[in-house]
Parts: sequence; structure tokens; C-alpha cells
Amino acid sequence: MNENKRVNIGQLYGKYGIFVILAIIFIVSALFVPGFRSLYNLKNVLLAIACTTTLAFGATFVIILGNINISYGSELAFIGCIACMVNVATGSVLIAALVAVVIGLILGALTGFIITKFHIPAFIMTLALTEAARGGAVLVTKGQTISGLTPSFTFIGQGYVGPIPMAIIIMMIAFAIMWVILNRTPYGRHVYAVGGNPKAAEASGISPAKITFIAYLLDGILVAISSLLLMGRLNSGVPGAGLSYEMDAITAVVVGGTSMAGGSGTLFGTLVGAVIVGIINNVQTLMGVDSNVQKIVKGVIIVGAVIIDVVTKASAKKAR
Amino acid sequence: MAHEEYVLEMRDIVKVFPGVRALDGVQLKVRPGKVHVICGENGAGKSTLMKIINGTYVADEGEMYYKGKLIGPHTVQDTLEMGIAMIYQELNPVLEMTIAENIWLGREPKNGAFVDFKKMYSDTQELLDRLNMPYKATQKMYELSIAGHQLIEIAKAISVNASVIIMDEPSSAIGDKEIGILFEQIFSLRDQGVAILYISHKMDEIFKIADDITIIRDGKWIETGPAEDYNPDKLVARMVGREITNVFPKDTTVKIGDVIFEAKNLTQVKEDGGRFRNISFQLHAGEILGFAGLVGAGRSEVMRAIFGLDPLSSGQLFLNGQEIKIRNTQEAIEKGIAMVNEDRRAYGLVLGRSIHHNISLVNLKKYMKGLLDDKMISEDVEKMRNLLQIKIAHENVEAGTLSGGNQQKVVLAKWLVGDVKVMILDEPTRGIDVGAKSEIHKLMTEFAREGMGIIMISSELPEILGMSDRIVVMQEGVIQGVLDRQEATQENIMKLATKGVKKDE
Repeated sequence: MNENKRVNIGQLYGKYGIFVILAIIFIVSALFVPGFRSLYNLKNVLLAIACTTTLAFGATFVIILGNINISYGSELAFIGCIACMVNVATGSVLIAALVAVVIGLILGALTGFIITKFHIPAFIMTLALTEAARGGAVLVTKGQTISGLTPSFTFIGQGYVGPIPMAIIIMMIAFAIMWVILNRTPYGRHVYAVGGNPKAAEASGISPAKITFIAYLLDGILVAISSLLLMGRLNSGVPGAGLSYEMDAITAVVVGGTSMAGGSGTLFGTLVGAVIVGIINNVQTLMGVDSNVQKIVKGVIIVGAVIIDVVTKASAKKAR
Repeated sequence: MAHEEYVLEMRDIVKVFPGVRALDGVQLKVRPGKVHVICGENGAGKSTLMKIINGTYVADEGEMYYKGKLIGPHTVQDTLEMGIAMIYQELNPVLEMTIAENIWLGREPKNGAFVDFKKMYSDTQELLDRLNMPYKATQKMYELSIAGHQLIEIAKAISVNASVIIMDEPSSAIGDKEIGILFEQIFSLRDQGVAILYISHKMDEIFKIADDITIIRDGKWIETGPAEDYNPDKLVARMVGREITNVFPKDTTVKIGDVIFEAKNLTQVKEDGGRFRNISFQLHAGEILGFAGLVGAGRSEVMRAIFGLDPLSSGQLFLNGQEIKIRNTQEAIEKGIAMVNEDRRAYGLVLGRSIHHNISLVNLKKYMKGLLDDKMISEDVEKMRNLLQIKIAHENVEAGTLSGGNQQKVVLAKWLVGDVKVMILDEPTRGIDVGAKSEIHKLMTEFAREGMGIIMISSELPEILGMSDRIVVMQEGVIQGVLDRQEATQENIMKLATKGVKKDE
């Protein structure tokens, strides 16, 4: 039966296009942008994306489920500031990290619960959380920057293990764990099933609400980890930090080929998408492009990526 | 030339859908001022014919005459302007708008560039009063019941001054009181010379209102005649009067065991959907229990509730004599109950995922060795591929790319890799080609032989008669009778399915 052998450009792009784009961008940058090729700069690219890429792993789960979280920036500030205060008060980075994860879980649980229980659109819920968490961050810090972090906290964001930045190590550990969960556990398969067809998932004994709730818990843990990376890098708890980080995270996921309609996407794609976004940011900075122009470019990229997703989906459907 | 005595004439209408000749040379002659009832089984082609008349579909062959004139290709808008209005089986009112706005939607009276609300509301109120409908034109649609929506839909049809009004099972969702109002309106329209085309399955209704009857069977025109020439028995006999050829691989030597599953007094009250009441039946091991009835009889709804997809308001379920509680699909599956839904694209498969993923989806726990062992899954997929003769190039092919028959086999495989005691099959062969159909029937026989209890909902009478050991016939949410294989015929099933249910309970 040849019905199974049909391949079309849409499907091909979905599988390999992202690597081709990464390769092209990398080669062009290396050839034409002065300073891009240096090892120091390449390390900078990775360091700059560690925080948002860690977020993007959680966002991948959420977006495969057909949901969204747009409150990352504020969540980072809220959780990170509290973690910094705990660190300053106790002198322990472990307790600070633990508190961060607990708060991340609480925010994730709250979001997941309200979305699944009351069927409130994830967009609205996390829009509300954006405002609330930012308010919370300013409130707990009284608007002041928290300084005096222990060196071990700063190490998370700035330190090196051998030649490799600690933040990159943490990001890759998060990637490995999330990859295993998504690809090698029943929960991961359930995520794809619920995102692809919630009715069929339910008729297969899967509770879409439960799967979604757990995804926001995982997302919360990653936000907590990411907040440690951010505050560690800043060497202080800044209540205004993390502004528009959700933009970079979601852009990485979408550029990485995860469909906003849910049901498809990979963590590997997200990682590649994050690197692409990181390179584009880096190149613009090297070339001295105005930061506001950079924002416009980012906006164009995210819409372009979604257009590509929708168009390739339509062509794949037509081929059917 | 068309005959002047008919307001609407359809000649030799043919309509082909992929894989099926939905209409094959259908004739229809509608006289003005008469109620013309179209009779036929599920899938006979009644609704398709109506949709060709009103322009939703375009016929592949045949001619349509309206008021003596040949009508070429036409759209819904064209027919409405010509004076043919249709009331659909499923209504789509804009709930947040008023009655008047709904009635004039898309053809609002204008005063210059603006909607003339004053005229719209006064005209609507006049219309409602004239039709004895107890509503205000300014009421919002959501304040009305489903029956109310149906009445407004009728008012809308009347407001266009139609010469022909098509009503596709308008009484299926409304109570006796509203049916009374509906019939009054039908009679008054008829007396004003309007022709009514009416689709119904209810015998008592048909003989109350019909002047003419046209019978369609399997897409073919059977006959047309005055209602006086018929009685319910004759009508049913003509509707189902096909020859039964025994193409079903039913093995009557399969041993029927003990009762494996029992449902007692299952009821779904209004708050939960309210689509059935007092449903009781037993299922034996090795038995294929057929559920017959017209579309909308509540068969799927009963099974969905048993499987935990919809809530059950009251009633008891027993598995091997022990009472079980099912609150969600997970609990049903844990107890060995499986369901293949009628809409396999919506409920059976995750279309964008591979065969590998779809087949393993229900029983992922089985493949855990610390983490998921994809090799083990592949072995099971291979087994199922051979057992069910699934024609796929590779297990990583997306489920959405398969043909209907192969998709259905993947859905079956999804359940068979686990331990199933009770298999519910809702329209298991709908939209599947003949070859795959008979393969699925063979598999059902095999499952039964291994001691599985099978519940099969089917709207195809030959399939029901061919495969079932016993047949439960439902109508409007209640069981009208249970027939043994020996006593079951197309006629007595249809009689039970169209008997008429008292609604005063």
C-alpha cells in the first residue's frame, strides 16, 4: 500500500528543517559577523540562553498539550527574589533552592488547577499570574535589590566546572531528565496523546486534566531552577528581572517546531530553537543593532515560525 | 416538461460520496398543500436528498424542477430566495441574540445602511402572535428550551414565505406539547397551500400528518403513494424489504457462557444529558449482543456512560456477578471493559502519532522495564499486525494516513494488547470497505470464541441480524424489546425501533 509512503515537503521540514536553518544561520554568522567565531563568544551564546532554554523545556510540555504559560518573566522574579532572601538569611544555597522549587510547584499547581478545574484559558490564567507574580516580587523585596548572596549561589549562574559554565551543565541535566520523561515514560506518551486528541486520550483511559496539571508542576520546577540561574548570574535578587523572558522561551519552542495547536514537538527541537534564537540575539549585539530593533526582529521570528508551522501542517493535511 | 400539479419534482437523482452511492436514481414529486413524508432506514439517503434540494449538496446526476421550471446548480441562498426553506435536524441558534435577530439573521430589514430594528421587532412579534407562539420578539435565544429553538426555526421558515418547507426530524428533540404546536403549524401551512417535506421515523406521527409517502431504501427510490394506502406494518416491510444474503461469518457453534456483564436500571437524568432511562441487560461470555435502533435512540449514549465517558445518574453495573463502579474511562479499562467508539477519528486515534504510539497507548504500563521498552511495544505491534492483517508499511507511520479499515484495526489492536473481558463496539464497520468489513466480523467471532463478551451497536440491520446472538432494540432512550437470533427479522426490529415511546413518565 503506497498510502503509507507519502512524504512531502511539509513533513520533511517538520523533521529536518530546523537543523538546516541552524546550520545556515551558523555558517552565515561565522563567515560574515566579526567576532562570532571566537570560543569566548560561542560560550557567551550558550550562557545567555541557559536561563530561557531551561524555561523552554517546561514550555515544550505545556505547548505540546495545547496550552501556554506567558508568566515566566514574573515568576522568575518572584521565585528568584524569595530564593535570594532565603539564601541571605540562612546562608544555605540548598535551602534557597528547595524553597524555590516548592514555590515553583505551588505556582504550577495553582495554574494547572485553575485551568483544568474551571476550564479557564491558560492564556488568561497566566496573564493574570504575570501581573500577580510581579507584584509579589516587588512586595516581598519592598522594591529593593537583594544583595549579599553566598558565593555558592552566584556559582550557579556564573561559575565554571572545568571549561564548562555551571549554568550550561544545569540546563543540560534538565534537558536530559525532561527528555527521558517525555520520550521514555507513559506520562510522556500521554502528553502527546492529550495534546493531539484529548477525546481519544480520554477514551483510552487517560485523564487530560491530570496530564495537564502534572505538566504545569514540571513547568513550575523548571521555572524555579531557571530563577536560580538568573539571580545567580545577576549576583542579586532583582524584583524587576526576567522581563519578557517568556518571549524568548516561547520563541525557542515554536522555532524548534512544536506546534501551538498541540500534539507535536520535541525537546531536541526546542534546544535547537533556543540556540537559533541565541545566535540571532548575539549576532545583532555584535553588530551593534539597537536593542529595540532586536525586539522587533524577535517578534517577526515568532510570527514567521508559527506561519511556517501552520502552512506546513496544511500541506501535510493536503497530502493525506 | 414538468407537471404543473407538483411544486417540486426531483428526477433520477444520483449522488456519489467516496466509496458509496448515497442516492441512486431517486424520484420525488411534491404536491402543493400536502404533507409529504419521506421514509427510510438510517442511511437510506433521506437527509442527503433534502440537502440536494436545498443546495447544500450538488447532485451528480438528475434534474430538479421547481414550480415547473428546471433548476440548475443552486446554493442554499438561491433556494431560500426561491421559497424553499429547510429546518435542520441540528439547530444552530445564536444564543446571545434575540428571537427577532435570529429569525432575520443575514437578511435583516434595512433602513439605509442601518438595521431597521423597529420594523424587525414589530414584524417578528406579529409573526409569533399569528403562529400562537408564546414568546416575545425581544427575548434572548438562550432563554428558550431546545423545543423553543425548534419552534423559532419554524417561524423563521414561515417568515420567508416559503412554498416548500423541509423538516428533517423536527420532533426528535421536543416534547409532546411542542409537537402539538408543531403539527398545528404544519396543518395551517398545508391549508395555505405550502408543501411540507417531512422526515420522520415515528409511525404514529407519520400516519397523523402524512398525505403522501415516499419510501427510500439504500439510496434507491422504492415507491410513492397516498398515505391511505399504507399501514405501519406495510410501511416497515417496504422500508426494509431487501434480500438478506448471508455474508456474515457468524459461527453459531461458539459456546455461550455465563453472564459476564450486567447493567441494571441505568438512567441518565436531565442534568447529566438525560438520554436514556431504565436500561437493563445481560451479556454472556462468548456472546455478541447487538444493539439496534434508529440513529439517536440513545444506544451510544448508554455505552459511553458504561465506559465512563459520560456520567451515569443511577443504576448498577455488574462484572462477573460483582457490582462495579465506573467513574471514568480509566476505571472501566482496569476492569477489562473496552470501547471502540463510532467516531474513530475523534475518539479512537491520535491521528498525528504513529501506529506504534497508538497501539501502545492504553497499556503503556505493560511495557515498563524501569522506563518504557519500545522494543517490547514493537513486538506486540508486529503481533497485532499479523493477527489483524493491518496493512501498514511501517509502525512509525502516522495513524491519520491510513484507510478507514486499517484505522479501525489499529483501534482494535490498541485494546487487544491488553486484557479485555467486555468489548463494546459502536458502529465497528461504518465507512469501511467490504473486504475490511468482513475481516472485522471474522475477528469479532474469534474474540467471542475466546470468551469475550461483545456488545455491538450497529445501524445496519443486515449486520445486526448477521452477527448478533441476541438483539436489544432501543428507541428514544428506552429498551423496546430484546429478540433472539431465531426470532429476529428486519421487520420486527424496525417495528420495535419505531414503536413510539410514551413521554409522560
